[in-house]
Amino acid sequence: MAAVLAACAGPTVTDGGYRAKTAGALQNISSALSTAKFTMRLEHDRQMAFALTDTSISQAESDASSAQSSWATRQPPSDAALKLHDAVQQPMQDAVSALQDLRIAYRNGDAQGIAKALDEIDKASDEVDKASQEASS
Amino acid sequence: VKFLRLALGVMTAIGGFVDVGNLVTSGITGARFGMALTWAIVIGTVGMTLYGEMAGRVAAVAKRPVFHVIRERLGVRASLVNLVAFVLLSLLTLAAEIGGVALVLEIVTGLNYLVWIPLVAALVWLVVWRMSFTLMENLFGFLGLCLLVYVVALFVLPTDWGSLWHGATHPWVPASEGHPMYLFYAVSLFGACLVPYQVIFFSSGGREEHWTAKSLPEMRVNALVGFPLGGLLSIAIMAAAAVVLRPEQIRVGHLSDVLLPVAHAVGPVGLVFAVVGFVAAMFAAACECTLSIGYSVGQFFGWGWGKDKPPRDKPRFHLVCLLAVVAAAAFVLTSLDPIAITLVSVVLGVAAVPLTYFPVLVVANDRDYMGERANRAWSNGLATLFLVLMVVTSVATIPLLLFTKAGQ
Repeated sequence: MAAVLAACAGPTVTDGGYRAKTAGALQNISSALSTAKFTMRLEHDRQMAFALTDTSISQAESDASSAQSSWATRQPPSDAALKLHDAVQQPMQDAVSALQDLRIAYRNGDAQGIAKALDEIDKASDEVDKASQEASS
Repeated sequence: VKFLRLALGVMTAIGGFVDVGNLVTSGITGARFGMALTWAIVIGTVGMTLYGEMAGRVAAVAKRPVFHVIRERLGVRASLVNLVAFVLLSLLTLAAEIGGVALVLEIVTGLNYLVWIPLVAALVWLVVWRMSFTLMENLFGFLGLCLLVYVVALFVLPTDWGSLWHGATHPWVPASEGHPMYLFYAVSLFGACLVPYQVIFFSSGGREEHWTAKSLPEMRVNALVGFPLGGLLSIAIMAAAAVVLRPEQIRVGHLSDVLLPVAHAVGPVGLVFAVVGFVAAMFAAACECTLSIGYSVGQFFGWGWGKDKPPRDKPRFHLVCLLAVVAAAAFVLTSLDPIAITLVSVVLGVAAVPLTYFPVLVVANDRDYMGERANRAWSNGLATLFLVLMVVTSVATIPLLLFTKAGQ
């Protein structure tokens, strides 16, 4: 019972609560981006083995996507919250897309695609960091 | 030969101490809090060592495993509540261990972990059914030592030992986390060290190996050296995550994340060791957990239990073990995240710990059972202090679980 209750998403009725949820989602997405970048660095340095790289970047994509979709189900409780929603929506989407591109390129063995996706991830990381600052301010 | 037996026992205790709970909680906390929660592992390990030694002593001197003691001291009704709580919690732990092994197989093969669950469950049951107790304990305990690759990683990495030591000895709450989250993860580390099934397994295992008062020195070395070294291994995993993942701002959410520090430090060879260590530690824990469920039910109802005789002589014990494996595998096959199951099981475990540990303390202190091997005043004092700490922690556990949404 406790475990089920702990897994439920609670309502977000205040601006502060919405801001905190947004910051939390951005933090999870930022971590997913960092995991993907770090994993690819290890892969490039031939430090990885088994299917660890594939598993790691797939899970990063899944984490970011899950954080975004869970955040997106929350209703902004005010105009200020709606403004924040509009400001962070695109960075979140860009991050998820970049991770998706990386996964597709890696599985296809597409070196150029990987390089391009890593550039997108770098840009998405910057955007997410800025959005995090906005959500935390 | 005696030294070799002792060394093997200690190695088994080290390998056996670490399971999916330790791997996950140490990885998560190292990446999120650095070394600021080392104290929780230290306290949990001291508690496990203290009560493990007591349970082993009761098994050797009073020749009673823990659940016999619980039924005798608490009465049938109260101990039935205890049994139900223990079995449900152990099923959750068993599900987490089976899911953990399947996740590692996904990392190795690239095939989704759900595909591996039936196979892992079947292997767990096969080992419980066919493999001798001593071989099972020694083989997986020994292979679990591959996790020492985390210690190697720390020496290969440009580790700032002074900073790690400072972090461990000057705990702080990171501003981004807040006190409830910090306490939730402290409880999870504490719970990962004090899993109730380990005490049941340690004491019932003592009966499986026919411990007597003469076995006490060997048992004590296992508990007093093996468990603390197992705790150190948990701290090494936390430190590796703190050194590698924290600066990269990577939060651990998967077992694969816990492998990244080893890949970074030691490369593919290190990963082979880590993967073998992960599988051995979690597979052994799955077998121990299954057996503990069988032991507890068998001991409660007074059935024949144990692996010292062929399964046909103890059909009910083996049937319970089989049902436990099937139920746990079915639970993970619902596709609930095994890492989330792990976190919930170690935290809920803390809530149930006093139920298992209290009767052990009572009997270890009872001269009718223990004669001159009863607890000394200092060990009673320390154990009572721990029991109070466990009760306080168990009361705080559920509110923390709900308030932090299981550490999200």
